Order: sequence, then structure tokens, then C-alpha cells
Amino acid sequence: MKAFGKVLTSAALAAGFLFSAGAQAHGFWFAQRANSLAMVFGVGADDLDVVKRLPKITKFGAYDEDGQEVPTKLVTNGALVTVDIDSQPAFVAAVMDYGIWSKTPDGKWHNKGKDEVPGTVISERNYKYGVHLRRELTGPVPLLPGQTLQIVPVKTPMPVKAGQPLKLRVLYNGKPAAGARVLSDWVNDPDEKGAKTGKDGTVTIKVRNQGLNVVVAVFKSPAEDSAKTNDTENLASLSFVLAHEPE
Amino acid sequence: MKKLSTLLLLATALTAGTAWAHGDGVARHGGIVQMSGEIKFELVAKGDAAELYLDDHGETMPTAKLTGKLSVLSGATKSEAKLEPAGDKLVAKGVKLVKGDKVVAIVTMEDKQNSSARFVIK
Repeated sequence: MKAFGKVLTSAALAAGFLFSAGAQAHGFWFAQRANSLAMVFGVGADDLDVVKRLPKITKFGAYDEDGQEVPTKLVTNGALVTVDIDSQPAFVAAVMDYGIWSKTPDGKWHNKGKDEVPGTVISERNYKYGVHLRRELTGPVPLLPGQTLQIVPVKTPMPVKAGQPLKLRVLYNGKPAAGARVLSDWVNDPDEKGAKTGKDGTVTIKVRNQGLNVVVAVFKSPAEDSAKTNDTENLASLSFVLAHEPE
Repeated sequence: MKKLSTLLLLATALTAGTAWAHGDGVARHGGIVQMSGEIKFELVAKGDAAELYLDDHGETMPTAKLTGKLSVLSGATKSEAKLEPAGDKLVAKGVKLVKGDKVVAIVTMEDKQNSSARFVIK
């Protein structure tokens, strides 16, 4: 019985580890809401409270095609956080420090390090990144400030029709991120297994929607402080819209 | 009966687009069109001036209570001009647009909310 209990505990721990990716795997992206460009926080169809998470945004900016910063700001508008796009930027990008999270075998997440929570099955530092493409591109997407993990299209112009292949490169600190997990439709299919990037950081997906597309990459990097966490989870979104036919 | 069915089908085909319509993308003044949300912005280069027409679902918007600004990037040179009401349009004087210019039009609507669009002169 003792041995069985040990096996059961190990299995529970393993299950906790294996299925942990979804629990804290929220992120943000940009999407149109009531004619405005809004920052959305959540996963899948869960559009969560972005206003209360605004203090976690450590960097926000808008850029032209050359990566030059142009004026912008985030505006709280009721339950929405919208982006001032008066300067008509090509890209909008933000960084969110989501802090340290540890999970205990009972499935609970704690906003603390493993040094403060005994018996954790997961303990990680979370950073969220996001880039939105606002118009058709004629050149490469520049590496944007603060985007430690960034998804960039390998070629431009981008596909214009859903179903077309799109080759992407995931970069971590500007270098190819091998083994990053890439999900092609995070809003409509967040449980998708996804595809792993190769040694060159690239992966080819099919563009899923003739409308909003939110592609997400998840990449683990070493712990910043191994006394507090086991690793760092970096989650980056790349959002863009394929236009619908003229009406 | 057959004629009626055909007529119904034809009527459906002709009106189907309107349910989703929020802009036809058609330039009505010989300019360049961009959508800003549901508002169609049409920029027309007219000699030493630039005209901006606003269209809300096929209706030309009155401009008397609107204000705005035109920012022009011509090569490496940036310039700005005020958009002022002039009948059924807004006009920026002293602006000579040439091919390749990148133009951002920002209009402050009656409700004090801004609406903007970007154009590349072809």
C-alpha cells in the first residue's frame, strides 16, 4: 500500500507537471473592439480583466515599418484597454511581467517562489510578450524593443488567404529559439498541440482565419533565480488580421 | 411562381452585402480611400491643398464641427497642416502631395474622439 501510494503521488506529480502548461498559460494580444484596437488578456475565448493587469505591463510602444517608435499610449476605456493609434503605426508591442508562480500538488497556483511554497510541482517566472501587425508588410518585421521572445514572419508580404502556409521564426534575445512550441490559433484552438520550431527557430503553420489570427509561441528559458523558480516561461503572441472580401 | 422565385433570388443576391456593409471602399471624389473603423476617409490631392471627405455608410459626414490635422512624410521631410471644415469636406491648405508621400489624417469628431487613417500617395 505504501508503494502504491508512492506511485500514486509520483503519478499525480507527473500529471501536474505534464498538464501544467495550460493553467498559467494566459497571455495578451491585440484585437479590434468597438472600432478601436484593444489589448486583450486571456486564453482562447476567455477575455479576462485586462484593466487590473495593466500595472504588469512593463513596456508598451508603437513603431513604424523601420522600427522607429511613434507616439502612442494605452487608454483605459471602461473594461477595455485601447491603443491610441492616431499616429498610424505599423506595429504595436508590449511586454508584461507576470511574476513568479508556483503550483502545489493540490492544483493550486501561488504567486510566490518555491522557496516560500513547500512541495511545489512547478515554479516558474512568467513573461508575456505581444506584437500586433497593423498593415500589410513590404519588408521584414524588425526586432522590437523589449520583445525578448518575438515571432517574426520569415517572408513578406504575408499570406492574404486563410489556409496559406506561413513560415515564422521565433527569436529569443534575437537568436533562433529552437524547440519553442507554436500554436497557430490561440483564440479558437488554445488546446492545439502545436508545432516545435527547428534549430533555426523556424516553423511553418497554416494561417487559420480570414480575420483575426493570434499565433503564440511558448519557450522555456533557464531560471533567473534557481532558489525561487525552476525555469522561466516566455509566451509571445503575434496577432494580425487577414482582410475579408469587399462587401 | 418560377418568376417570383427568380426575382426573390435576385433580390437576395443584390441586397446580401448590405447586412455586413460598413464601407464600400469606393472613391467618390477621385481620391484614395482608407477605412477608419466604420468611417471611410477619402484623401484627394488638389494642387496646393489636400481634401478629406468622410463617409459613414454611404452618407457624406458634415464637417462643420470637426477638426483635424494632416501629417505628411515626404522622403525624410515631415510636415503638418491643419484640416479645416469646407462644406462637405475638410481641407488642408499649403499641402502639395506627391507620389510616395505617406499621409496620416487625424480627425477629432463631434464626440471629441479621434479617428485616423494612413495613406500612401500613388
